[in-house]
Amino acid sequence: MGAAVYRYFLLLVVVVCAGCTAGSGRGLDANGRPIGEAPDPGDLPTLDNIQARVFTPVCVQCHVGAAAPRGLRLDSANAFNDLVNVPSQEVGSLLRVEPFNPDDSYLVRKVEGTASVGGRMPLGGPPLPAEDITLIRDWILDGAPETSASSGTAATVTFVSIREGTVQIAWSQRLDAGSVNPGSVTVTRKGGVPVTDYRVSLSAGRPNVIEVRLGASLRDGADYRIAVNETGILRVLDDSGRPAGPYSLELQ
Amino acid sequence: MSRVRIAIIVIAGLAGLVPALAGAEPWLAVLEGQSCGTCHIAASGGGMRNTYGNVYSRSLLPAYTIGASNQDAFIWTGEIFDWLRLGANVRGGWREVDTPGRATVSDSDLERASVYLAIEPIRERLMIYADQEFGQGTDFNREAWARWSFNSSWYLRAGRIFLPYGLRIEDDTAWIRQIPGINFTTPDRGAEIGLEKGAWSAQFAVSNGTAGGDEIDSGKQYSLNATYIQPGWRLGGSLNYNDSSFGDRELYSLYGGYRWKQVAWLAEISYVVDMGFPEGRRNQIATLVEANWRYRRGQNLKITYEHLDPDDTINNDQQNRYSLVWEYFPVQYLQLRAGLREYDGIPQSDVQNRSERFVQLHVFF
Repeated sequence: MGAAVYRYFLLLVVVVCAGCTAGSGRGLDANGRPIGEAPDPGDLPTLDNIQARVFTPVCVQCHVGAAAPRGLRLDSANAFNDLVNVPSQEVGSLLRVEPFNPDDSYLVRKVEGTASVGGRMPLGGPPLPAEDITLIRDWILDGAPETSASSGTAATVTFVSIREGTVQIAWSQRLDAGSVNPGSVTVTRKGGVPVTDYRVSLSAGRPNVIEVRLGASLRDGADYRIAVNETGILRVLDDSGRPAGPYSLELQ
Repeated sequence: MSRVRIAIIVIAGLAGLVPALAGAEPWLAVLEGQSCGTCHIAASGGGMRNTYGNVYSRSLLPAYTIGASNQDAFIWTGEIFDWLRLGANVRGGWREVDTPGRATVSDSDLERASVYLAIEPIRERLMIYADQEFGQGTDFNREAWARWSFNSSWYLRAGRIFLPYGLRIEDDTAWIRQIPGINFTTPDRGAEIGLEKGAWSAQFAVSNGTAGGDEIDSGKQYSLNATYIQPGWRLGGSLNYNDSSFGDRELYSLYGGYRWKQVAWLAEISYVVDMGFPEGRRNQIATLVEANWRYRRGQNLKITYEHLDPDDTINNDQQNRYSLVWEYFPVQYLQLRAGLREYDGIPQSDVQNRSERFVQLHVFF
């Protein structure tokens, strides 16, 4: 009987498996969508490029619409709002994307396979290529801005972080390092009294982030104000030479 | 060296590499001609096993039962007291993926480690159940529900539940589970009324429709599943409608099982209408045909064919997936799985033409 079952088993398997063939791919891009439907992804660490290289072709197979697992939608209309500064539902102490902090961003842990809950993402698929994970890491290091760096409008501030006397101001575009200096970024006390006890630089490895390191005299609890491109002749420029949009921040 | 010693050595070696997961085994239900609720405390299957499920896992399922000849041996049934049951599930493993144009990647991963707890303050009437997953920095809750049994046929349960839909196979990456989006990774909060009467097993659930996420609108998800079970075959159907501000979804599934000698056949076709894609509506069709040959006690050979049409308005985009999996239950409550998967997709997609090899260790009781 064993031999008969074996033959029957194999025959049916062969018949069933021969039933359908894979698509020829004619007229489709590498993601199986019609050619021209999606933009060609670039290699700069922007959300648009991550969307085109990773989220749309890989993640949106599951993370879309009403059935998106854990309510995480990664289509272009929802990815930013569902990721950046949103607590993870599996590990509530972590944000899905914590700007400037890829190591503690749950998204990075899930695609690198170091999360403590569930399988590595993409679930059941091959791990993301190292260059795509690097792209995500760099985007988060840049402050996880929503706006594409290649837009034709003036750069705007996407995120601000204040930690231990250092203020990090992330812009939507890369900045001209030569334009970032104490003349284009000013700090004043309440009443407009200018102060000089601070240093301004472009963040190392993050060309869209200005770091303002406050001196000890500014950490006394007094009110002060940081302004970029608000007054004066010197202005912060993006890497295309356009002035970035004005920005100010009042701290207490 | 005895089979038991070999099994223990292999398992001990694998345990350092891989972890495991919990899932249902509908091929066993087909082979035995039973409903899912015969072995699981949830009528629709998956999760904690009942007393029969534990005894079956000890005495009938494995190749060898440790302590079988000792009439005084301890037999785990999951029942600690009349009113308290415990169980656990760990699944993990090693996987290697070959994707054309990329370096081969292999990794080990703990898919799941969780503990089941069921309290029954009123015997055969009221049950409270939790399926809690543990890990570093988390205590994620997969299921938590309370169930009231009106009689031996009807019940009502509410809480965080796995929705009734289609075949509850353990592989969440199978297209019939991944594309509808109802699987063991997506519990939802809601209520379910169920019927277990004669040859019928049926459930109707109303839930948030957020796949475990926070509720963000007033729309709900409605799930209906019904199976007609005979000793040698079964036929079932599922309907699901999710009213969501992120795009309505409609799911239709037809599935069945057939037993011929020691071969259990499973088949399902699922049609998904999803309005949540960036381009609007997308219709997807996922199918599965699977043969499970229990050629020897404790050993099963599983061959699976899957076909996916990811958008029925686009031509030339269909994909296939072939799996060959050997499942071995060396002793009670242990399962080893080793398998191959071949993906066959459009030629310009490397990911759709990858190959996988995997080994899993599954501990369940």
